[in-house]
Order: sequence, then structure tokens, then C-alpha cells
Amino acid sequence: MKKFLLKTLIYVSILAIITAGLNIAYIDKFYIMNFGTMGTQRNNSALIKNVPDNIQVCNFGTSHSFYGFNYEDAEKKYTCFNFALPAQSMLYDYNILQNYRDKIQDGAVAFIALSYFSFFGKPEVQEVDFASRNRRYYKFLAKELIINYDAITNFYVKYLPALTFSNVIRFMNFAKSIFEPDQDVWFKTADVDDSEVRYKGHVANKLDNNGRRLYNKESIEALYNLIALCKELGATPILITTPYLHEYVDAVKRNDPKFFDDFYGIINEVTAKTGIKYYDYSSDERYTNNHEFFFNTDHLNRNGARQFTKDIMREAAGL
Amino acid sequence: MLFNSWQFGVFLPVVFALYWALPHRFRWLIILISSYWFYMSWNVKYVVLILFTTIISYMAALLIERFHDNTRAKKFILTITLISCLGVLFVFKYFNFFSESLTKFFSLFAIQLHPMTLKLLLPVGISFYTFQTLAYVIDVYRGTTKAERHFGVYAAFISFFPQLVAGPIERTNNLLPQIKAHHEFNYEQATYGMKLMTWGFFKKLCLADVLAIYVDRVFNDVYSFRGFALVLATFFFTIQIYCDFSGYSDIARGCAKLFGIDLMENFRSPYFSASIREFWSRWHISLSTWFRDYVYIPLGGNRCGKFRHNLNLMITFVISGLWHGANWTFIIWGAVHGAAQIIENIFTRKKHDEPNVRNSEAIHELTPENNEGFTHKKNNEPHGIIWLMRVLMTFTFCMFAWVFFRAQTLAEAIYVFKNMFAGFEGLEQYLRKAWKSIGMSWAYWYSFSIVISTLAVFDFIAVICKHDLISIISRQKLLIRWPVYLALGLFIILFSPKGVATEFVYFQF
Repeated sequence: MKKFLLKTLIYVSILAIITAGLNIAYIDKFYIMNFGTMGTQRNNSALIKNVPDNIQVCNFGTSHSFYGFNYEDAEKKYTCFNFALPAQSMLYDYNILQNYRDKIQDGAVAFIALSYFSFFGKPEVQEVDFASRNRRYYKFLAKELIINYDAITNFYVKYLPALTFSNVIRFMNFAKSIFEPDQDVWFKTADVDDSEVRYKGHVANKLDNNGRRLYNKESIEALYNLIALCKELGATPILITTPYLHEYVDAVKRNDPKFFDDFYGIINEVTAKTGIKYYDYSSDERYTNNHEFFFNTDHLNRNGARQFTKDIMREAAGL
Repeated sequence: MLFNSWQFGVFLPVVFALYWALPHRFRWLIILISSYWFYMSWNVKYVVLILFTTIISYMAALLIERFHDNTRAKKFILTITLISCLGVLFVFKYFNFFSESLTKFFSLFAIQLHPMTLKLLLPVGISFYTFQTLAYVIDVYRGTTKAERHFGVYAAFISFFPQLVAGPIERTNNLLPQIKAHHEFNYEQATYGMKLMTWGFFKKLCLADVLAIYVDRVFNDVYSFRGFALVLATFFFTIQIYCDFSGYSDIARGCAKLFGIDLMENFRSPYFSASIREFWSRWHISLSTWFRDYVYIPLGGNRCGKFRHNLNLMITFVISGLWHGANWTFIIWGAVHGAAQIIENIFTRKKHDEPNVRNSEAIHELTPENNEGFTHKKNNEPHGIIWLMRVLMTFTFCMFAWVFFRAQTLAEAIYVFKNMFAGFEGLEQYLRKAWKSIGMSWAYWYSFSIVISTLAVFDFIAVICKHDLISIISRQKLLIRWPVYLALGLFIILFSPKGVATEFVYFQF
């Protein structure tokens, strides 16, 4: 028995030492960078450590906003920041703004991106990948702003970040992107063949068991709160929808002819109640037929984002 | 309490310490208390069901033994016990299915009925412990085992926590004497148990749980996918179900070894089978032998005409399918395997057509004992490339049959088959679309390839050498074996999803 216990102890100790070593190395070198999609957004790291003060232009939203805003040119004149993250809910848009409320300059412009499915689907906590998605907010949000906060997850994310599978994979992706930078999706151009599949993938978890679209009241309520908070901070909220390729828009029309009535119906109600402006670039001809601006049918690539950011700042914000 | 939860990480060392610290006469009590604690951690209420099944079967066995001369009384007691135990199983697992199926059946004749359904949660592991108790009572009835008089020891045998919720479905003659036996701590057995558990965790956490992400993405929304994405998801599920279930069995066996108890082997490299018959001698062995002993042979096995033999096979496989779940998809899955075995029999039976020859082979059918392994082939069994081709064919068949198992409805399963090769305009395009649609990066694919290859090597060596890799590595020098153990441990730590313990697939059965 003694021999068994001693060997078990030695085994566990060696494993613990190696793990601790790896974790320290990981935190030192990769933790900051290892967030979101590797190699794509400089703001990934900034969200954790370097959110600038006196932000003049910022944007919120899902991957459409995350990939759709590229402040490379605008940063020469303004302090800009991209608060969007892939699959980010409106509730987290609001929580992020709460977290960084002191960083927003009075008179700033806040672009709130509304994706086609922003108002539809189940409440966030009921989504299949909620737990894995939720983990990323532990890195930079205050405890009280994290939905379903859990101390064990907090421990893993903060103190043992190297031990999560997704991080290891992201690390591998990151390492790969160093050697093959053109592999990064943001630098690619779109393959339009997947519009139907992408649409169906997006709509899949937005339906109830009878195939009817679910309205996400939580999300609509969070949008009102976000707008109110922007105003409270002295920022001008502007609702936008980022460009989509026409193949994707066609797929939506084909599969759900009533969709746009519902989508724009909600937006009209929001703009009427809050008095803020909405700019719809989803079918803007400057983008919707230009495959060179997209890396897939509904996400802008680096060049598309650069052009779109320039256009929207001039047209919607007058900057 | 899941094996892959932190609670189990605390529970196991505590039970282990208490078990070996206390004298032998109290050990059954430690097993009993810890097992009930383990089971109640899911849902306290369902302890009533396991207790009910345990009491009924305990008393029935004693009564059967008491009336050993009176066949009618014995039969009556057995019937009542079967009805009681299977009745509980039926109510909790099958009632809604039968009620809904019956309603649909009547609607075919324009008779509209409203299905009566019960809102009951399926108790974890109910099929496993029910079958274990049934086997015990039937064995006592047959006189192949003696009724246990000590209720506590018997309850510990039924509820032994390592195998309680997902097997192996233990036989009385194997497990009960071990629970009663006086054990001395055995270093070799315990270390082997630890290694087996580590290997089980590796399969569950590094493969099953990670593959499940992609499998669920496709099968939870199957109509959004077509082409190679469906083939890929089916392949992943083939690996996932094996790693999940055999991973559980390995952890269970390893865990039991820490208490000096050897549970039966439940998997023997099933995906290296050269026929469906062989597959079933290597897959979920404790269940297939259960069906052999308590369904197939009582039906007549192969000691009858060809038609009846095939019918017996089909009945056994259909019931086996139904055991897995109350859904037509499981029944079809069982039937598909039954049909495949019947077809195999037709093509391989030429030499054994004489009824007396078949009689002598009756006991071997559906058993692990007729598996001779790669290096011990009989003269008429395939070698080399032929064997490899048959292994690939069997694997492919099993893989596609799993579609019925994983799909939530028959319509979904049919959709998967219809659309697996849809949109094929060239191999590269076909593959590329699949990666994109299921959202899999090359980095994931690389890591999966490494892990799946490790699994394949492990199983292949077990087939070739007739020893598992753990035993082979255990015999190596310290400088070889320890880096392997550490690498495996590190791999589990690094690559297992953290913060969320996922259930084992077979818990639902």
C-alpha cells in the first residue's frame, strides 16, 4: 500500500510541476494574445489589458461587427475601439460597456451592430455553447457582470488558462498563423457556395420545435438598455447592420420570406422609441456584389472592413 | 456524480481510504453506503427504485431456493419478479414510447386516440441494474448460483458504484463472491487499475467529449448539413460512442481494481472485428453475453432450423436495440445488426450446415470466446490483407448503422443517408465544404488525428498481441513507461474540456 501511495504521489507531483511550468510559460507568452480569433484583431489583447482611455469611436456586436470594423485608418485621427466579439449577445454588449464606462469620452460615437439574428433565438444561457462562450468574459469583466458566474471556471480561466482545450487549440492556431499568416480568415476572400449552409447554420438554433422563429426578448431589452447607457455616458448610439453578400441575403429571402418584415419591424420600433438612427449596409451595392470584400458570405475581410469603417464613419457619424 | 467531476475526485480517495482502513467485515458496508451515496448524487428520489428492485429480487431468490422442488411455485415467483422489475423499467423507460406508437398505429386505421404519457425522468442506469438483478434471479432459478442470504452484501452487489450506472452488467458468480471475499491490498492490481482509469479518462475526455462538440453540432440540427459533413459527423460519432462507453468501462474496471475487485471486460478492440458476429463478441460484451444467456439461448439459439435460428437472432438484436432506448431508431439499429448477422451466417455456414455441428457451436455464437484474434486465426479464417479488408468493411457497416443510433428520428436518419454524398462535384470541394460547414479548423483535425491514431494503435496492438498496451508498457523499463504515463496524464490535463463535466452517453440507457 505504501509503495502504491508513494508512487501515486510522485506521479501527481511530477504532473503538477510540469503543468505549473507550462501554465507560467503560457501566461507569460500567450495568454494576452490568446483570445478571440488569433492574428485577426489587435483588440483581443487590448480587451484584457489595454482598453484605451477617452474612446471616441467604438463598436459593439457579434462577429459581423468584430470582423466588420477595422480602425487602421481612423486611428490616426481618433481613439477607436472594437468591443465586438464573435457570437456576443446584446446583454454582454451592455455589460462590456458597463465595465468600461469610464473609458468612453463624452460625445463619443458607439456603433451598435445588429446582425440578422440579433433579436431571435433562445435566451443566451440556454444555448448549447453558452458555457464555453461565457468563459472568455472571465478574463476581463468584473465578477458581477458575468452571467452565471462560477468560481471554479474563474479559477481555471484566470489561474490555469493553459489547461483549457480551446486555449490549447487557439495556441496551435496562433502558432500556425505566425508561419502561415495568409491562413487567417480575415485575409481571405469569400467562397459564395456556402451561403445556404451558413444561413441554415445561423437560423438553426433560432427556431422552436415547430420550426417557428423565436423572439429573444432578453436581447431586445438589452438593446434598449445599451442605448440608454450610451446616452447616459454622453455617447451617440448608432444602429447599423454590416454588409452581407447578396447570396446570403437571397438565401434568407428564399427560406424565410417574412424574415425582413420582422427584423426591420423591430428596428423601426426601437428607432421610433429611442430616436436614434439606423444605417443598413446589409444590401449596400458597394459591398453586396463585391466578393473581394468578404471572407465568407456574411463577414467582411480586412479590406472590406477597412472600407466599410471609412464609409460608415463618414456617412453615419459625420467623422 | 460523474467519474469526470471534481466531486468524484474527492469521493474516490475517501472511499478507498475507508475501505482499506476498516477490517474486512465492514467493507461491504463501505461499498453499500458509498454506492448509494454515489447514486443519490444524481437524484435522491430514484434510490427508491433501486431499493425496490433489490428487495424484490433478494426475496424472490430466497423463495425460489426455498421452493427448489416445486417447479410451479418457482416459475410463479420468477414470473412475478420479472414482471415487477421489468414493469419498473417499462414505466420509466418505455411507457411513453409504446403509448405514442400505439396511437400512431391506430391512426393508420383512422382511429384517433390521445396518447397517455407520463412525465417521468429516466433514472440513471436503470437498464443496467435491472438486468443485473434479473440475471441473478434467473441464475438462482436455474440453480447455477445460490441465493445470497446477507441483504447488505446483496445490495452492495447490485449497487457497486463503479459499474452501477453504465455497466459492465456483472454476473452474480463473478462479482458477488468478490464482494464477500477477504481482500489483501494487491499492488499490481491497484496500479493496473490506476492505469486503466487513466486510459479511460483519456478516451472519454480527450476524444469522446471533444468529438461530441462536432457530432452534436451536426446531429442536433441535421437538416442544415449535407455532403461530407454528415459522413464526418457519423465517423466522429462512431469514435465518440466507443470512447465514451469503453472509456466508462475502463474507468469502472480500474476503479473496482482499487478495491481488489475484477469486473468483466466489456470491450475488446471492437472496431478491429472482421465480421458483425465478431463485432458483437467484442462490443459491450457484458450485454451481448446477457442477451445470449437470457434471451437467445432460451429462444432456442441455433439448435433449431435455419429459419428459426435466424428469427432468434433477429429477435435478440431487436430487443437489444430496444434496450438501448425507447425509440424506433434504436429498434432499427438492432434490426440492421441482426440482419447483417443473418446475411453473414448465410454466406459462412456452408461447412456447418449439419444441425448437429451447429448444435455443438451453439454456445459459441454471440460470445467473446469464439474470438481468436489476428494471430490465432483458424485455417478457414482470413489473414493479412483479406482480414484488413473485412475489418474495414465491418467498420464501415457499423459506422453507417450508428446513424440510426444517433439520429433523433427515423426521418433524420433517412435524411443523413440521402444527403451524405449530395453536392459531390469533386473530392476537394466535397471535403472543403464539410470542414467549413461544421466549423472545424485544421488545428483541430491535427490534434484529432494524433489522438485517434493513438487509440487505433492501442486497439490494434491488443488484437495482434492479445494483451492490452497497458500490460505491455507496464513491463518496460522505468525510463520508458513513466514518460508514457506522464504524457498521457498531461494530455488529459491539457486537452480535456474544463469546468464542465459531461455525462456519459450510455447513462441514458
